[in-house]
This record gives sequence, C-alpha cells and structure tokens, in this order.
Amino acid sequence: MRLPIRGLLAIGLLSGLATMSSAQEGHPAKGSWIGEWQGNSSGESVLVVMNWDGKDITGIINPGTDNLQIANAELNPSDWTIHIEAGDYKIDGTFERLELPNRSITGTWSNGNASGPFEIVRQ
Amino acid sequence: MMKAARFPLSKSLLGVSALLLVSGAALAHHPIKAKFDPAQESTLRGVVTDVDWRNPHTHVFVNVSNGNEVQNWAIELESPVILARSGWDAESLRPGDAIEVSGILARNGTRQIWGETVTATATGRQVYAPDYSAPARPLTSRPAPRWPDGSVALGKSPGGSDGYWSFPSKTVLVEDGVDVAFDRDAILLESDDASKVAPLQPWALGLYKFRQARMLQDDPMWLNCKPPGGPRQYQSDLGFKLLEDKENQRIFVLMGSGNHNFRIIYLDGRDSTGSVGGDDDNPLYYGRSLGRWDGDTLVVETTGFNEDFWFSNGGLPHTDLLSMEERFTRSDADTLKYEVTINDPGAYTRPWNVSWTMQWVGGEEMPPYFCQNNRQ
Repeated sequence: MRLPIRGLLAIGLLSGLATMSSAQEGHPAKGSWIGEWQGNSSGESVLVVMNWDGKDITGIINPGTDNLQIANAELNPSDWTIHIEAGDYKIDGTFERLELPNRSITGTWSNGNASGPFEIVRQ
Repeated sequence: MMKAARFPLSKSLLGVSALLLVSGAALAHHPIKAKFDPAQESTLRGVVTDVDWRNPHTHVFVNVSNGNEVQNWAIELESPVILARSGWDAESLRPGDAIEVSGILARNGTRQIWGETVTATATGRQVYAPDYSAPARPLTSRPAPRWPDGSVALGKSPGGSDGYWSFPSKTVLVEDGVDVAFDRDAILLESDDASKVAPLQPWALGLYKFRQARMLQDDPMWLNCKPPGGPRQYQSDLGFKLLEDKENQRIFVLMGSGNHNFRIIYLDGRDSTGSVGGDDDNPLYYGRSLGRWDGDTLVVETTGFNEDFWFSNGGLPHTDLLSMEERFTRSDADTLKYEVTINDPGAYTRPWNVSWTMQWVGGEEMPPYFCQNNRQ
C-alpha cells in the first residue's frame, strides 16, 4: 500500500499534536481535565475545568449536564488528594503522574446513592 | 573496585548503543543526582576509546577489561564550557590512554558513571577536573563605566572591550537571611529545610518537596529547553549580557543559557499591558518588563509570566500571578548587584527578597552553549 506524501505529513502532524500537552508547572489542579466516570446516569464522560486564584480552586464540572460550578475544592499536598463538590456531586481523587503536564486524577464520584470510579486526564 | 564483566564486547557495545538510542531524554543535561546514585560509588580502570566533547555533558568512553571480557563504559563529566574554563580541551585525553575513574554509578544500572576524578595512569595526573571558581578580580576596584550622558553602563562600556556577566554569588533562589545548604544543582542537603527556603503556600511547599525528592529530573529547562524565566536567568554559570539600546530606550538581556533567548526591558514609558503582538492576554516566559532609573540603579517591574517553566534552579513553583521588582546596580566595573522582590500571591504567603552579585568577564564573548541532547 502506498501512502501519498500529504497523508504521511498529516499523520506525522497529528501524531505530533497528539503528544503535545500544554505545560503547567504552577498549581497542579489548574487546567482542563477530560475523562470518564462509570455509572453516571447522565453520561460517562466528564469535563472538569479548574483554576487557582491564590486562595481557592474555582471552576466547573460538566458530567453530561449543564455546567456545575465548583462550590468547594480542597487539595491536600501531603498525599496529593483532592476533594471537589459541585452541585450534588462529590469527587474524591488522587493525582497521578504529578510531574507531567498530562497528569491524571483517579478516584470515586458520588451523587446521592449513585457512585462509581472515575479518571480524568489534564489536557 | 573493578566491575565484573558480564557480556562479550560486541554484545555490550550493542547493548550500550541500544540503551542510548532509546533513552535520548536521559542524555540531556540534568542534575547529577537525578541520573547517578551517590550511594553507589565505584572505581573503573580502562583504556579510552573516544572523547565526546559536546554540550551539555562531556563523555569519555572507556574499555574496561576483566579477564577475557571487555565492557565499554560511558564516563559523564561536566560541560565543555566548564571544563574549557578549567583549562581542558577535547584532546586532554586521547583514544588509547589508560585511565582510572572514581565516581558514582547510574541509577538505571547501565554502564555509565559520573566521573568525580579521572586520573591518567601514565602520569598520575588528574584530568578533566572542573574548576568552578570565578576568575581573579582586579586588586583595586575600578569605577563603573559610564555613558557620555553620565549614566552607568550596565554592559560593555562605551568604546570598551566586550564582556558579559557571570559567576553569580548564589546559584540557588533562597530568601535573604535564610541559611540552608544545597548541592551545586540546588538540591537541598537536608530535605527538612524545604519550608525555610521561601514563604511557600502549602501546595507550593508540597510541589517543591516533590521536585526535590525527584532530584529535579523534571526540570523543563533541561527536559524541554524551556527558557530560564524569572530570576533564574541570572543564576547560571553560562552568564548573560546586557545590551543597552539608548536610541530606542530599551535594554536587551541576552542569555548564555537555555536556547540563547533574550528578554527586552523597555524604558520608554509604555504601558505594562500588551505584548509584542499587542495581545494583552499572552503571558510570556520572561513577562513584560518596564524599567526606570533610580540614581545609578536600574529598577525593573515585570508582570505577565506564564506557568510553563521553572523560575528557579531548585524547583520553587510560581504562578501567573507572579510579579517582580528587580534592581540592577553596577557598584564597580566588575560587580553587578542584583536584588529582586518576588511577589506571587498564588504560590507564596508574602513578598520576599533575594539578592546576589555577578562578576564581569571582560574581553570575552559568552561561551557557546545550546540546549541539546548529547549524541545518540
């Protein structure tokens, strides 16, 4: 099979872009995170956007509904765990690959009686 | 101690080659302890096969015999910039020379050793020993050179010879008045001292400890050739130049480290918002710098930093809330005093001050150094 030059260039460009992730050497939670959580009735994809204003972690989560403002988020740097509350959702996770821009958070989410595991990856 | 040979020469060479090919990132510049384990001291005796005189680290390859088996080892040494300053060159050792090397072994078990001492067997002389000391200063202080308008020249004096600033009196960012010990790579000798280094917020202290515990191996300046923004640009062995463009009321800061980036300090009274492209939401590695003169001191206010780099050699975090007030004072021809107030309410509990001096290296250009991998 012969691939045209343009096709090869496109593949090369796309694979290059796929490995790029904007560096983030500041507050570890800051950035856009995308992932999946299992067992959520409104969808198993989730978007989390977090910012750091010097005192608080702010932002939104979107678990397949409207955006929900983060009402409370606490990072514990002694073990790199994070607790997030937004709407009726509560999220408890642990940072992994903290040294990388595409670090992840894994843990459990809950909403009333529903709960399940999740993993989100910083974009 | 002679290391026991485990593979025939051809296999060992293939093995080393394969390892080097697949671990390109590990060949970049790095803190010594990130790659080599101080607890694994060793001594090798062998014959030089090659000298790779190239940034960021010089390598000497040596065949080490043990009975009928021979292994090729890579001895890693300081950069050619530092070794050349110390009087060595690429031919200080040649293939065929017998040497003895004492040092510490690579953490990943490959046949690499950080050479703390390299001794030529034939003469008993040490070779490639680095000398980190600054050149001797003049016996008597010379006044700082001045421009025809009377202002102090921060760089090359009008009509004078070229030169640059280097040999910072501090190579680690630590609050003035704090007494803690670091190694040459800005790694704390006592990890419990981390909280003393600067008034860190809890998350920033945690991240600083995390980076220190990993021996700074994730430093994006070395891993990804990111610019040395913030005060870090003045704590490199590789120096910097200050070029004053009087006509356009700006000063260029040319870095001897990183990828030879430059920073511009504007003295034309412009507003601090906006960047080169007119985009005021475009945080930069060096921020946006506005300068003014306070007597013989250049005062520079800088904001608009991004968060894509480390602003200190030791891995202290910063955020995009960082602002700096820097004061540059050429107290005499050979001394530049640098004082900086760091105000980053995103990472620190209060503003804090650091100061150090740099020494003028006259009659020379900055040594050639580019961020790059060693040969594969």
